[in-house]
Amino acid sequence: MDNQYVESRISRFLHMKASAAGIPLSGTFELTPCCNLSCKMCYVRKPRAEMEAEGGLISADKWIALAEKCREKGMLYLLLTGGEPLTHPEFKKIYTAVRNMGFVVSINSNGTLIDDEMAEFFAANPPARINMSLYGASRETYAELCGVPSAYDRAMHALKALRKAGVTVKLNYSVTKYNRGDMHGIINTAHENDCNIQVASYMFPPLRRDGTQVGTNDRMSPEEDAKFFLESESLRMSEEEFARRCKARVERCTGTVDEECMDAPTEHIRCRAGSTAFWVAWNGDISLCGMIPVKSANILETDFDEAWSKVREDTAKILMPAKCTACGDREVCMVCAASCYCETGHFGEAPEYICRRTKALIEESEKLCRTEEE
Amino acid sequence: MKTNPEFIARDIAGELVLVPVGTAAKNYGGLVTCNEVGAFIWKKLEQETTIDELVSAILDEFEIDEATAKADAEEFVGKLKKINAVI
Repeated sequence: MDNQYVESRISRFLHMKASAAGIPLSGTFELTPCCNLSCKMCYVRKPRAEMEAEGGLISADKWIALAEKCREKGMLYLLLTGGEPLTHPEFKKIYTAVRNMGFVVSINSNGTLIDDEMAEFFAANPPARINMSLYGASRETYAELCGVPSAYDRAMHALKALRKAGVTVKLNYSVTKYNRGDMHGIINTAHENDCNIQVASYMFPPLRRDGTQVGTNDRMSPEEDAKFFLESESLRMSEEEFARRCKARVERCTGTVDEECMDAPTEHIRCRAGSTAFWVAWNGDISLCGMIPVKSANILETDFDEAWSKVREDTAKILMPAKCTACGDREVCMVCAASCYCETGHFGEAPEYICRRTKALIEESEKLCRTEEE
Repeated sequence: MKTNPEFIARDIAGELVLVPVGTAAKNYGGLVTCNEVGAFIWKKLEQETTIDELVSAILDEFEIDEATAKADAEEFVGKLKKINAVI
């Protein structure tokens, strides 16, 4: 379970080639902002009435037509997300079409709409992976964080049904002050079901849901965030791997930032956003990253070719904060353009929350290294 | 023998990438990338082809001796058959 985030060599190789050639290798289609849960830290959720008032969902035919354009431009990896993507009334039609076009499709889902029939549907033409969010290890936690206690039972049923059907599942665990006490239970669930688990203790301010929430969210302090993140590493990894990562963090070495989209840090955007990756929101707005509420174009109004060029142009203009590029801790820091923007309202300003989180991670890692030596 | 239509051939950043779908994806969850000769062989296999016809086509296209061409073609086709990309 140590190398859960290790990307395949093929993927790394193709991203490198695509980056040089300006190819949109990796796309996200956010099929809906609606969800059957109401998680307190969600960055996107909208009530159905609000979504309808803002123009409604994009039809399957339009998503499929967009996918065909993306295919022509060289897209290989496609993430279907939401809200809860399975609440899109034409989800099956969209999934089947994009899967059969030859995309490597992943799906973000809370799992609660995956019954035995849906698990069989996926098993018949499996996605590369279903990234299933597990919000707690009990009905009580689901009631507290998501507002729906029975969602726990449905999520657990989905996990078992998918695994039984042979579908690859990765669990995503977003650590909040409401479910941090369930960490052992959630990580045990991953082990028991032979799934990888990714832990996210940093919660982006939900600017897409509410533009006034710059730098805020219903979340832990950066120091708590760091502490729980380290605890999750100690539970997920072997003692040797955990000790190696703590040491690497103390020595400011690369390889401890687990975000899948991250490449080597530079003064420009360090991730693949706008280089090989793009995000299309539920209303057709296309941007470099789904966490950033700044659109480059709308694919309902602009041809994909032109929209992708605009995304690349906009991305090229973004520079990371000078404080970050000169920082001695940057190799072990998860700062990105999205976190700068969501924490400060600007791309060029260093996010204090992330600075404090990184310092706390290093300090806690130092303590753990000292304990190890003793 | 010929290619399994459940392996979709994609040109990705100048590379031939084979993506399994449907039943093929149940049995093989990965991707296949092909070098220039591999891509040539895949193209030929889109029509019903024998190993001898493949070797003959490789000899026409690439500067290589017959024994090496045959050994390489058999090895590559063997790998594709193993994951049901060629049936």
